[in-house]
Amino acid sequence: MKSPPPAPEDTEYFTAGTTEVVTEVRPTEALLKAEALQRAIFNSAYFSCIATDAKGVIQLFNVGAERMLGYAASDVMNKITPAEMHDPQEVIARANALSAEFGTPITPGFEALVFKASRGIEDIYELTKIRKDGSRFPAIVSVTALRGEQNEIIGYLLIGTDNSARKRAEAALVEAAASQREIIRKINVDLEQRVNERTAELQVANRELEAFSYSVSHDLRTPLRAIDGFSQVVLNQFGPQLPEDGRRYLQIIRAGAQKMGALIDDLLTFARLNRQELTKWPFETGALVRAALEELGSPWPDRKIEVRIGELPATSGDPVLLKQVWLNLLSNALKYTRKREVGVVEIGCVKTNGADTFFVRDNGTGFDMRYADKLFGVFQRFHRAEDYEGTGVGLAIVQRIVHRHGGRVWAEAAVDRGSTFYFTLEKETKP
Amino acid sequence: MTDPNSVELMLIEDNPQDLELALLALREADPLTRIHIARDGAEALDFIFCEGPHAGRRIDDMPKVILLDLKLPKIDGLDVLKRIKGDPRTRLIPIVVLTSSKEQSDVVESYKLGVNSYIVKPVNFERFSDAVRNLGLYWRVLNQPPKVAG
Repeated sequence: MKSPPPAPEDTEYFTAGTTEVVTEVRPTEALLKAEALQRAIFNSAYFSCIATDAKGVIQLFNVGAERMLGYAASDVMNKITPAEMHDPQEVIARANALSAEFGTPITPGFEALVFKASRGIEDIYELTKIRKDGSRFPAIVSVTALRGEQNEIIGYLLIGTDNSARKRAEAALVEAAASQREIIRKINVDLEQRVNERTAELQVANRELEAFSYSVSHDLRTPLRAIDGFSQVVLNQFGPQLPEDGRRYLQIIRAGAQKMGALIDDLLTFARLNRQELTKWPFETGALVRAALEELGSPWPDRKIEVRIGELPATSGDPVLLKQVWLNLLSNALKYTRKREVGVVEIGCVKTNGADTFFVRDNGTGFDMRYADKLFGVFQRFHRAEDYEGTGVGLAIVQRIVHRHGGRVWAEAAVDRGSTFYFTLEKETKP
Repeated sequence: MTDPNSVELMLIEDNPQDLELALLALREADPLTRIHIARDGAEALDFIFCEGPHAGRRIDDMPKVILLDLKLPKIDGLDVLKRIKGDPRTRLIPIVVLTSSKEQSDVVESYKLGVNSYIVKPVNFERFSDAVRNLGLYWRVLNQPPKVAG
């Protein structure tokens, strides 16, 4: 047994319409189903459903609309248009935008809400709705024109959903992105600050080091001058009164002071190499080598030395520092060939892994390749001081200069069969 | 202008041993050289600019050469150099900077300030005394002092 469904209590308008139908025709099952759906739509609390007449006056106001907007249907029906429940500033802005888009003046009221729909254009927009109590919420509204039998517009249907949740999610996303940017910004600021601090620390350290070597340069050499100088004064003024041994001891004191002076100078040169700026330009290697040989006393009238200079390509680098490299390698070659009847020093260039590789070869005492790894260390000496003088810093200086040019230095040698020192000034590429 | 008592060579040096060695070297070369010694920068400037204890001196009675150590108490050697070379009355006095420093910055700064010569004191005494002697002789004997206008 089927009976008409009980009328919803809260909407006079809708029930009035349906009861009328029910009294005249026995409702079919399909009709009853449709009615149930219509009621459910009307009673849904999750979207607002507002229908107006052609002028915009509200004719239908569902439960969802009541819940969202805080008005009772009776407050608004036949009384106001939905435009009055919108943020007036937004309605004005929308009216202006539409006026511009369609080239016709559009009133900032209900017309602004339904203008597109009235032209048959699908229209879904986001606006802020204002509740009866004045509170606001973002809404998405879909507007449709309702048409009569002659296709004339008889009203409008505005279906709205509360967009607060999505807006909140969006806002949260924006906030998350902003806070992430803020975190990254903070990390960057922090990093930059740390780089600045480190740079400042390094500058201080560098200045301290400079002050230190300045002080070493001045203050360590001064007492050495006194030791050497007054030993010499004693020798000059009182030499004849001193026994032979006394004079010899004073000479040993002088030699010690001078050796220490040389050590200080070499160490300072070595220390300075790290902070000294490289000034690179292209230059003739041959000219540099000849200048170095000349500085070393070439052609050494009191020795038999044969210098063979091969082809030397021009190169690019700091000529002052590279001259020091040649000076150190060549003076070693001269030193360690001293006990040869004829010292032979060969200077040339070969290719190693595609890089120009300069070399200095001698027929001197050479060294045991087992100790080759110690060759370029500071204060590393391979020979006894009484055989060959030296501070043990020369090859360390060579290596540092070569490294600062991006090159490599190495040696090949055999005891008593001479040695060859090689260096490059560029990256080696495979042939 | 030639006053028989005028100072020929001024030596500005604070280290007593360096001073003694320099004097030994200078006396060995010429025992009669009239040398005035200042032991710090302030004393040196007082002498050159006739101030303080030297207020009675005539400023145009200039030393023929100044040997100047860079590391000095009170007023630094570079500042002494700056004062002398910056004053039109004294800027023509030849100044030889004599120091144990091999620091590049000192050399560059000294030349910027108008030093006439610069030598690094070698540890080796013979070279030290040669250098002192040669510089003293060079500026004092061989160098004609330029005429000062005014």
